[in-house]
Amino acid sequence: MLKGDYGKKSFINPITKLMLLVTLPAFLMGGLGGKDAEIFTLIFPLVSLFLLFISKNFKAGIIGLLAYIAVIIAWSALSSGSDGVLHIMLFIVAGIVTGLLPCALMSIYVISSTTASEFITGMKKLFIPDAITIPMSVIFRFFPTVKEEVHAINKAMKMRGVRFGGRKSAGILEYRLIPVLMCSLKIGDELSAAALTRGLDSPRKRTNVCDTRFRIQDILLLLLCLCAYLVWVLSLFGIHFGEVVKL
Amino acid sequence: MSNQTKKNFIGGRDLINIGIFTAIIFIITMAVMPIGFIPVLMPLYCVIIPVFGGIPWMLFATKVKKLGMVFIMSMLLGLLLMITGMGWYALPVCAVSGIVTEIILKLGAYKSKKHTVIAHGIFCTWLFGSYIPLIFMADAYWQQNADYGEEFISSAKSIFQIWTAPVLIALCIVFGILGGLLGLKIMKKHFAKAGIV
Repeated sequence: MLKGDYGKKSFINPITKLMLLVTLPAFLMGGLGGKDAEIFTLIFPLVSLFLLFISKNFKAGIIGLLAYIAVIIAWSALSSGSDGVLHIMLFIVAGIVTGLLPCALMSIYVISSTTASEFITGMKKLFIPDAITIPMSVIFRFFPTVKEEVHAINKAMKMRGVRFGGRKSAGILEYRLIPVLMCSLKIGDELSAAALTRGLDSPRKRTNVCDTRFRIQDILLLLLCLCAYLVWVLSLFGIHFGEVVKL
Repeated sequence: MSNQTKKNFIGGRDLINIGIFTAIIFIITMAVMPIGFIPVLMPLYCVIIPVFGGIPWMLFATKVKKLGMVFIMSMLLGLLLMITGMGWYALPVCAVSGIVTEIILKLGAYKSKKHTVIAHGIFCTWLFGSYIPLIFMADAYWQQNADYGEEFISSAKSIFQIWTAPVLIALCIVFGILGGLLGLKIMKKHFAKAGIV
């Protein structure tokens, strides 16, 4: 999150990003609305892919697109004829790709395109207290760092023979988790020092130069999310979107 | 504002520490989550996550000196569960477990090792939040997620009944305390030696 790239304006507003970040998993993984909201399980993955491409994150976008198409074809071709173990295996893969993947892609988009100050400004506008905003921005900044560190530590430990089936396989947890914790602590200290020198603890109101106005694309995406929630709420009251369309 | 009063409130440094340890605990959670695709293994969340989470917890506890830090962490974990699609049910559970944990830590004056270990047991009940729809709203939940397949749903339904709720909570607490003890041991072995704690 702390990208420090203030010149570039991102395509959508941080509030819209937050809305999408909450809405996507609710419908794709939480299964809100069930059958009535089925159309949104097709629209939302497209939205996340579209946003990735528009932010020029082609690598994640193309991998996501290919995985999505492949699984949908495999699922529709094989699911009816199969049962038992194959069905469950296929279901696991399909579940991960159709449910988890769009959400993961959306998180990648949000994390790679939002600066910390944009995020904090957006949250401030929603009157969310600092106690939530600051840890949240640290968390989002932290995921990629931890991934990098874990990768490096895994490599080092492989060299020392700490792996499954290796000589020291008993120490896997200890030898991997503890270095991660050590360097996380160090990163945390550096982060606090950096934030404090920028006046994080200052009692004054903070100002910034981020442009967080709503534009047409924000309004469209927010409306899309609202529609999805509307379909869900209506389905709770027994009004089914599918039937309404047929009428 | 005098220095004295300022010290009792949570400052920027504390919030950053909360963020880091929440991220670590959540990464452990996410690493374990995929086993849930096999319904029989689903209750194992309550075993694996508390045991692994004990290590960062004990380290976090050395940083906790102020009222409210654990509560904020607990609420953040609830929010993250919501963002990753477990529904809002986790939030009230997290609020309660956060407050109880906070009280236990306070009783130990944020120093006692014994209180910290027990507090981890209570803290781990936040995991229970993700089971609520499976147990108490099973019919509605599976109706919404009908494409999981008959086999998956029937085996999941046979596991998650009303009586599993106390069992899961007990699992969280017991393995949370065990995880805390493991964390304590590892702290002594590694972090105390390195002079971090």
